[in-house]
Amino acid sequence: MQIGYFPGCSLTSTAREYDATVRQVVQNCGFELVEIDDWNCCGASPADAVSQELVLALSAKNLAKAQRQGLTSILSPCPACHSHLLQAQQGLAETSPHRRRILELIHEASVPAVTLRHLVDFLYRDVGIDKLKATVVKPLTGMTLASYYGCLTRLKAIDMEDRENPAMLDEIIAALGATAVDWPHKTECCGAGLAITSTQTVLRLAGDILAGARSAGAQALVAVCPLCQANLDMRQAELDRKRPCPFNLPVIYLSQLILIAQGKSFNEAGFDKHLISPRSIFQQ
Amino acid sequence: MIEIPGTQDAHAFRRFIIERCGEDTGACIQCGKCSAGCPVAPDMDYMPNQVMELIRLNQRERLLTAHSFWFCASCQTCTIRCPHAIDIALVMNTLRKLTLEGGYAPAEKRMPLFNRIFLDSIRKHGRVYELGMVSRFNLASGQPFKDALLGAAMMARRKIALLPHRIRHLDDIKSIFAKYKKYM
Ligand code: SF4
Ligand code: SF4
Repeated sequence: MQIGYFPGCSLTSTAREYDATVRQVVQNCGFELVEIDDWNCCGASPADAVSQELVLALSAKNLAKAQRQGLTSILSPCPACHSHLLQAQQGLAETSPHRRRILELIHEASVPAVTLRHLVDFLYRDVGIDKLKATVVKPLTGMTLASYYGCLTRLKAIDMEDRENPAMLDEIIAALGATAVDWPHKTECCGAGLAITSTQTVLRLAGDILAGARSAGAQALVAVCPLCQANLDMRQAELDRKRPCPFNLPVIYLSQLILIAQGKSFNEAGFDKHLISPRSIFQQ
Repeated sequence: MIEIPGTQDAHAFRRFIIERCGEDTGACIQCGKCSAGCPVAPDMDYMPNQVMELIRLNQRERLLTAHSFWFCASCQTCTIRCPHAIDIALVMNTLRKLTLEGGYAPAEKRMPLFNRIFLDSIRKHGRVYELGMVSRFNLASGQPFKDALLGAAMMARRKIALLPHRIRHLDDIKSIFAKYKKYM
């Protein structure tokens, strides 16, 4: 089966390993990824801070590009990109007050609605837990992991049953044979959007999340957002300077974890890009 | 520059916020749930529930010159939890826009500067060129060596793209951005 792909800017740069492993996992689950040709940036929060219609138009443009390729569903592994595609689709609805202006901005007569998925609900709904389980050749038995959803996956988009304590990612982790610890910081914001403008804020937030995972007994965190992963992985060195003992908590992309369970070696999962290496966990 | 009402009559600012984003802060019952869960409340001069009240009290000047909403990470926690279904995150974002549109000097310089440089990168390439954007921001904000060690570690791991990627149909993006030039 075919599914469209919108990687987004981070996945072409700081989150290349996320991109590479998502592509392989999707293929291993029996789907063919078709990247949206010549896609553009979704504008992230800076575009939203200027104009709602600007941010809607940028993602509507991507939806129009997907339409030209005949795509009827789009997977985006970045929750920020994903939520922007979703908002654009809502903005393009017949009943939306933004519809006319967006179509004018992108020079299109209409853009049909498609199914929009993030990696988590793609695995949960389109692949399904049973089918995912069937692809596992090396169960991650004995591994204890903290499922970190981050803040943006809670948007109605992913339609979590309980937005204060979601379970989708936990179920996926369990399907791989690992144990997902119960912990309160699953959906706490890591502040990545302020990583460059207010470093003391992100240090505080990242520190709280990492401490939460540590005290729940996790060996590593499982991330599903390129900004969360980069933020939580890269800020540890700075946080450790003020701690009696280092966090040393790897932050692993869900797709990397699945790939290992699907039989790939440690070196094939792109962990050389991480600052905190998860090597010791996978060698136990 | 737009004229932002607030002094003419006692409810003008609240009504203006409704007009701009559809959210009526008058529905707020001051339960404090939004601020209790807000990850950046410790950085704010006015926490989300206080922002709601200041809008109701018609405090336009005080709000549009505040630090508060510049720290909002748009995490949506407040919006998800508000028992009166107020989209607080949207109100915070609206205040950012009104500050710039109304010609106020933003109390936080770094966030609007970052936004401008970020959008400039999209306008020039169609995608964000992270390395170029961060270097430009650090230079423009007078801290050229900020996170230099982190940058070095990333480059050693080839974790960040060294060159920008320019999309083929950049004209489409430029024509969208042309309409919003005055805010950037
Ligand atoms: S959660 Fe809603 S009702 Fe409660 S203080 Fe915040 S805005 Fe007001
Ligand atoms: S969206 Fe902004 S105001 Fe609301 S909880 Fe998150 S950071 Fe705080």
